[in-house]
Amino acid sequence: MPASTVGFEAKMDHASLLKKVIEAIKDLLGDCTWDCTNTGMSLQSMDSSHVALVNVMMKSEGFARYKCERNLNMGISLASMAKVLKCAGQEDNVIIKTDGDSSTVTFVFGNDDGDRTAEFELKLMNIDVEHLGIPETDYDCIIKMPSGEFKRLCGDLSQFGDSVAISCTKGEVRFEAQGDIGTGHIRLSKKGSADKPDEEISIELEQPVSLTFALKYLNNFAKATPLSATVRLCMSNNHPLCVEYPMPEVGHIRYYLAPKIEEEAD
Amino acid sequence: MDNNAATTSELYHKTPEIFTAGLKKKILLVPAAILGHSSSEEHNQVPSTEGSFEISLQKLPHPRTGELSLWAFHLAGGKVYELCQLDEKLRSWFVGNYVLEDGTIKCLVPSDPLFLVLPYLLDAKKRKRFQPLNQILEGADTKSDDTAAGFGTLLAPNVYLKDLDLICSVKGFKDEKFYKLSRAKLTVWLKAKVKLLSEALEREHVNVSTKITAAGYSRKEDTQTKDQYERFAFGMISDQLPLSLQEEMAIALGLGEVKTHSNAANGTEAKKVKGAPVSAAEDYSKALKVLAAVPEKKLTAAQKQLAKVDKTGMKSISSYFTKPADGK
Repeated sequence: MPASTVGFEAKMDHASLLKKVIEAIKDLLGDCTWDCTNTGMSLQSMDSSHVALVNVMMKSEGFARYKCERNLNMGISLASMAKVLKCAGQEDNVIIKTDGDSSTVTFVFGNDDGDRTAEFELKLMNIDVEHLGIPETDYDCIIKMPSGEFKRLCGDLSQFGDSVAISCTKGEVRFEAQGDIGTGHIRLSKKGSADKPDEEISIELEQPVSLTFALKYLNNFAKATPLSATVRLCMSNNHPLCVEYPMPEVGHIRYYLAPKIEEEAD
Repeated sequence: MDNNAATTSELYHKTPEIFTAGLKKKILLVPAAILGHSSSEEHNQVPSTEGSFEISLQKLPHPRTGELSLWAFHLAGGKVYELCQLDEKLRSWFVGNYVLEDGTIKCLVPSDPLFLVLPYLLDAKKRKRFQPLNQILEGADTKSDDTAAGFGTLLAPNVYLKDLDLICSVKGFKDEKFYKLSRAKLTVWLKAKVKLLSEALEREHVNVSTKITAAGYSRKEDTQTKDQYERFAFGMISDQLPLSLQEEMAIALGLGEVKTHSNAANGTEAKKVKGAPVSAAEDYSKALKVLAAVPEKKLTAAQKQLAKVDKTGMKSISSYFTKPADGK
């Protein structure tokens, strides 16, 4: 192994972006490992119940400066990372650095004027990671919609039931929840708008899909809404749902959630 | 468990010649149910055919640990018992006018034969096909001398595994059946077991709380909640569950927080169990510790909310994606 040099250093112009990323995943995951390679920082982890999986990718192009001399894993408590990021000002930039041998990672927040810097050091942890290979899947149905709309419908439907049945047919998608007080139906149809692509609702359908998911998880996924104006829901029958929040030029957050399956059916 | 153990010591003083013969004798406590009317005795080593009952002792892998252990098969009742042993150095048995130096307590604890096949059903499920039973057990080392007889006994048609449809989806005709483990059925089956057991615990006023009290002493205000009984019952049952299933089933049965609770309770939760066989109680505490050992993280409020979500019908996400071994 090479002698200790700066193993990893990345600078982001907006600490707020990193803050939003952590806010979007910290309630789902406890401690997890950031994999740093020269293509970027990524993270993959399951929630404590092992029914959901989160994949975050922040590409090196998304950083103002990025240097990773050798691949390294940073095991971090997301709760602690969120605490550190709370100390960042709205306009601050952030430098993340660690050398491969030390047991800490340093976050340096600075403003553009350069008259204030704040440095925080976090202890790294050793975490057993089990990476799952996620195959490239051709989904039967891909829905793209404004992320605010997705957040709203998840919030609305969770007042009615614990799970939502999503059924997608040509040109429209239905979300249904049932509960003690009644039922909720939300229907979205294709909507195109050339001048405002963020408000577009598009449905690519190979074959009709109908799946049921736990709403509490979807509500949690919706915490990534501030990161992206649009969200993509990718579904295939009897396959996990993939909820993707693209971060333009930076990367993405993908959430996977196992569907509720009536096992007798198979 | 409801183990109406019948000691068989009375017989010995009528037959003192057993001891003069120089054989090594052991005492085995057996449930009254398999004795029929007359009580008789059982040699540990030899499958005996004495009196009105017949049990055969066979080696089979334990469903939780995979280690070989001894199981007693009672053909007439179609029941399976696990042979449990409690060692204590400073104990001997009085048998009539004799002292038997070996003071271990061995007893037969009723078990469900379905537990024995569960690990193989789990393995077979990965192949995503309905399969005949002998093919499911292929993964098991049925050929080895140690277990061949055991599996042979277990597979005897329509005796021990006749209730397999309780945890499997079944396809096929009368004499040719194909099985696949159904998680939904398994959950229902376990739920029923936990319910029955927790009711029995409640009826017998077994102490399942963390407090240690003297046997036979119970204060009115020390009421134990249904939840505590259910958790304890699940602890007992998960003693027979493959490790990989324990956590999953705890969550499926809505007992997902067993871990955090038993953390504080640790082993003490099971130590002092009034009226239950001591060896058994020791085992249960082990099972609880296994659960406790898995996650020791502090959960945030939001994570606790998610842990409470009803996850019936949701498979582990890792079952959809390839594990690192066969993936990248």
